Amino acid sequence: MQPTSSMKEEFLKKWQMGLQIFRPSIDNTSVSERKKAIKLSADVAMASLRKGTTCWSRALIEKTATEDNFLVRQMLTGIKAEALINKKLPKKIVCHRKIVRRSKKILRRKSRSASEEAAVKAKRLVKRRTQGLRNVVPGGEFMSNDILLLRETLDYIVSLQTQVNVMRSIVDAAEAGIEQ
Amino acid sequence: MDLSEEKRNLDATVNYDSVNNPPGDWRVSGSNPVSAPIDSYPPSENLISPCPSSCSPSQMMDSFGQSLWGNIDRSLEMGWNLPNLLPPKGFIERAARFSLFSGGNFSDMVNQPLVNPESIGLFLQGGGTMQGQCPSNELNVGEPHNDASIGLKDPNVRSSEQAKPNVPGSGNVSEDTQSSGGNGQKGGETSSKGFDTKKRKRNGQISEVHQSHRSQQSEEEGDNNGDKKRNDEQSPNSPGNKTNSGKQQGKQTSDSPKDGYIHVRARRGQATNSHSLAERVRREKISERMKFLQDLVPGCNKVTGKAVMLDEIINYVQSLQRQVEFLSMKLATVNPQMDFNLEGLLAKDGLQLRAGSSSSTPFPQNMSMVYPPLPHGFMQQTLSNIGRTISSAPLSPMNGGFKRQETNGWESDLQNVIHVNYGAGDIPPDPQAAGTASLPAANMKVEP
Repeated sequence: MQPTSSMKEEFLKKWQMGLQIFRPSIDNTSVSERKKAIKLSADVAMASLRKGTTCWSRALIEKTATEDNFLVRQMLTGIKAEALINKKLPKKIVCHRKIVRRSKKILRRKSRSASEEAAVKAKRLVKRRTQGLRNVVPGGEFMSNDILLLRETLDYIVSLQTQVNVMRSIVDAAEAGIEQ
Repeated sequence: MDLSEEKRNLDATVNYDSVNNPPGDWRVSGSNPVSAPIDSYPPSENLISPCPSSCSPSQMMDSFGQSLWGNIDRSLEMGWNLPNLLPPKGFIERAARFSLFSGGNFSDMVNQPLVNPESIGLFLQGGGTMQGQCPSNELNVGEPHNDASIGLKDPNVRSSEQAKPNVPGSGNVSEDTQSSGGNGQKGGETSSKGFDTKKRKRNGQISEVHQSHRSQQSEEEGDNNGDKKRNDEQSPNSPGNKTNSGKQQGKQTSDSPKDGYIHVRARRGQATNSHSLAERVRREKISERMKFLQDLVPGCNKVTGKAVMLDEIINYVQSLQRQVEFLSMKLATVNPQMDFNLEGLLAKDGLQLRAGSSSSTPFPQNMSMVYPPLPHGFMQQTLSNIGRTISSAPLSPMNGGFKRQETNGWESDLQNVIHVNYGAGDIPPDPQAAGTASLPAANMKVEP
């Protein structure tokens, strides 16, 4: 599933709306501030595209809200997605390290054949990678099972692609405009 | 007498309070294949209760005639104390439709109005090889229950010898898998979610029946192998799966190899534990998702194995996130007033140009635009990260993004451009002038 043009347009509109809201507060400030505002509004726009159906979108909005709650709220009201900010996230998946370590020790005592060991190693690798994926995808810690995680990753990747495409287009157009 | 003896056996095996009995215990006609189509449906309460110890399947199948149904009905009614399990009428009809043992007479049976317990008996008996027989009404697939399933009766009867424990959750899950496979990603998932909620209220085996029927329907072949059916359904999604290709011959289920994580149904000799079945279904789902991801992440077609795929996915997501950062930074510098004139930009067909020429845009030009005057260290580090990521991950050109041949000269180009831009100053007093000043310099530097 590739990002569609309708998705891009929607994202652009929402982003523009968000930027309008941000502009009065960020005039003639440093580059980093501006960049943060742009990224924030882009992220919120991207997350609102999903209208709260996906876990990552809710988690992303939560994250942005913690940074700049007021503006985010404003933006969400602007794009008529206030409900998003109040959505509850599921419980965080917490691993108690002591318990995990103890269980691993017990498991390790059991002797394994060569083929088993390879499988065990592969499993360990996969687990590590899924944990890495959880760290990357917003809200990954809240996804209880791998299947959900993969689904969210899919959705997130598509939205990221949309975002990148639109932003790049804007940059190109802006560049073209400046050069002329 | 034979009949009463059988009836007693059945009564003994009824175990109605184990609705969600681990399907591992459930075996229908595990040992002897029934060659001759049997018109009646010897109702074995195997659907609900463990049966292998008490009933010999061949006995049951051979001895039960149509006349027995009345007795069985009574016994079933007496013991049927699971109100929440009583399937609705529509379901009963559906359950009645599939049967293991009524080769040609099935269509006749279907049309008969069946009393509930009888139908349940039907269903129970047919539980062994529900694959390919499951009516699809519940699935909203819209496929009529055609006679293709009827043609499968005899082979299915033969394959009924396999123990077929059913996992309550697995049926739902596989349903989900298949529907998502069939309908495309999003739509399939939402619809299958609806199925899941509906199904979970029913017996897990019923859901598996439906799922197997769906798979068979989608094939529309007289495929004997229930597993093959599932495989064939999966085959559009997993053409490269070796188990699929292995199964797509007219092999009987009992002869097919045990491996292959596509299969939900436990085969003969396999662990019929509910856990292993559920795990298999889970693996199915995960593999399907990974397939979608393979299509999405560029350059992942040759990669096999979960760990490597996950690695690629992580890298890709990270690179996308970094791209967003860069682009937003770039935008911040290019347009300090942040007055992105949408109408003006769109008038220039900026978006359309982007979409159209995404892959053809030569990369160096893009590169020059990605380097806004940033704090030196940050830019260098992130850009070198990107370079490393790109060179390590075989990313095919994506939307004018990372091109393989560019990565070699990246690092050096990056350094040069950064220096140039850095010299221009990151907070120019005159934004417009600084922007124009830095850009030509970057262009001069980077243009091939």
